[in-house]
Amino acid sequence: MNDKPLISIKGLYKYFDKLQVLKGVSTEIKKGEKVAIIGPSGSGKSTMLRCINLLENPTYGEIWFEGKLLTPIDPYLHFDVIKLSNTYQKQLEQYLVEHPDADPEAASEAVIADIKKNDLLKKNEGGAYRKAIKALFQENFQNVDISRRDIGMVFQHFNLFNNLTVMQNLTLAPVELKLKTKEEAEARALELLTRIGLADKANVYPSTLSGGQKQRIAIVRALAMNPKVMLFDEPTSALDPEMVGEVLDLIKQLADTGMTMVIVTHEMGFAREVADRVLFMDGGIIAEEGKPKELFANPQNPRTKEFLSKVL
Amino acid sequence: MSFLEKLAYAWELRGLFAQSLGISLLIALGAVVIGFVIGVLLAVIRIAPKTNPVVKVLDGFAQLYITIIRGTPTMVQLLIMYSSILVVFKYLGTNLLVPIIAFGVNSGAYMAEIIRSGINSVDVGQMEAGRSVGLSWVTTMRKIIIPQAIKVVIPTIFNEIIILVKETSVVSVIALRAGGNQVWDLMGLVSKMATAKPAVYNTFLYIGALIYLTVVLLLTFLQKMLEKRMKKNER
Repeated sequence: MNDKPLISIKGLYKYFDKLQVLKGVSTEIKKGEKVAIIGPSGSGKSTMLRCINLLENPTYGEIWFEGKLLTPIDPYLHFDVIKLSNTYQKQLEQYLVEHPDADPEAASEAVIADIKKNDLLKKNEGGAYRKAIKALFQENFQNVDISRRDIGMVFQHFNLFNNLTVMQNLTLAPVELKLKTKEEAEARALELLTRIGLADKANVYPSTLSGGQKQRIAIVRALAMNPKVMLFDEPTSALDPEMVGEVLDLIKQLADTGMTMVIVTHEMGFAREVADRVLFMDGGIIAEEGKPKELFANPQNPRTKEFLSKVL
Repeated sequence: MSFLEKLAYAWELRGLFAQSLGISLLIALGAVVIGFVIGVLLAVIRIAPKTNPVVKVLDGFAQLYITIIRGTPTMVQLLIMYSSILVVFKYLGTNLLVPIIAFGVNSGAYMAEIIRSGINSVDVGQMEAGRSVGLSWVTTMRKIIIPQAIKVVIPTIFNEIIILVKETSVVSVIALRAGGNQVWDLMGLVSKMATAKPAVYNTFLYIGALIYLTVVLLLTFLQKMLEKRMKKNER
């Protein structure tokens, strides 16, 4: 397996006004890996998932996909860039004089926080620094619209395009983005619909479908783009109980094909069965992570224990 | 002059009535098209995320436009267009474009707010789904959001069109020309005839009212057909 991460999340913070939903989340997702994110509601797991393809804009932090930076080149978003600045060096020296026995990590964090708070970069830095940012921009930045083609997303509420038929739902993006001709896209769509046994629904509108059918079509809509990773945001939470199985089965089949997947879910059994790694989120951080067997059987963090005792 | 004689007189003038109805409808139709295009553009600008400075400037312009148009009477707008902004038409043989533009610009402000409310009524998940497959904001708007928004606002849009059709009667305050000859809209014709023959004024008013009512009934029928067809599209 390739060791270079497909997705890197670095120091992710998300505030909704005063509410801190994510408080510093960092993790890497390797190609072919299946990661399940569990945790109580309000723990920030959906927000984190939605930050990966920038449906939510992170307040701070970086998202990297295939070695490309998706988050904007705002210097305050990038710890590395701040560290390049003269301001940082000066402030750090001064800080270390004032706090001689400070831990270097903590010192760095405090200095960065101070620089952000007082907008010191804008006040102090000159052309050389701006050039450094520009270099970073040109080398690594990629418009998220491009990366989103490779990042499939499945929503809790399906979000099929209501004004289009099932077939059009599957072919719109590939054709519109000129990745396929209409004929190619339709052939691929029909192949996908046949795979999930819904080829006969190609020409109906989403409003006539059951929840389970909608979600399975939403999954193949994402697959029609041939993505490199699939993000699932509580894919079964809005379904009637008898329809959960068909959707989970499809996700499982997909996992067996080697697809990289990140799944936010409340289905613990499913997470245990499918995931290579489970992240337990609580209070906006990854409180614990590990292999599913270990994490479910022998949680280390008391909050994980408490959560699992409630849901299992 | 008996009532029947008045009716017979009106019947004699049926050619003129037909022509003036044509003028009224032409102005209304042109204005609806212009208004709709302006409305969609303004609504999209108003709704666009204000991250780009260009969008911010455009949004400021859109708000100013809507404020001015909604804040002044249609007749005043028409007269301003006629006597200053579009004064160049004074020297042309045909000036029907003046009321078409004036009413179109007027209607655009109202359509913008109607369409904006329609866009707001579309679930945000639709935009997110469009973006998640790599479509741009503009493409998602065009292919997904606006078609759904239009469907929602069809009754309100028709309401605006009906108001517009009747509002075009204001145009009788300016002198209309087509191909160098003076022409009249429906209400303009009624007033002119009444001045020439005061005895028929009341009768002609009723006839004018009936013609407008017929047009509006036809529009209402069209609206129902359209709504029915769109509903069928979902099944």
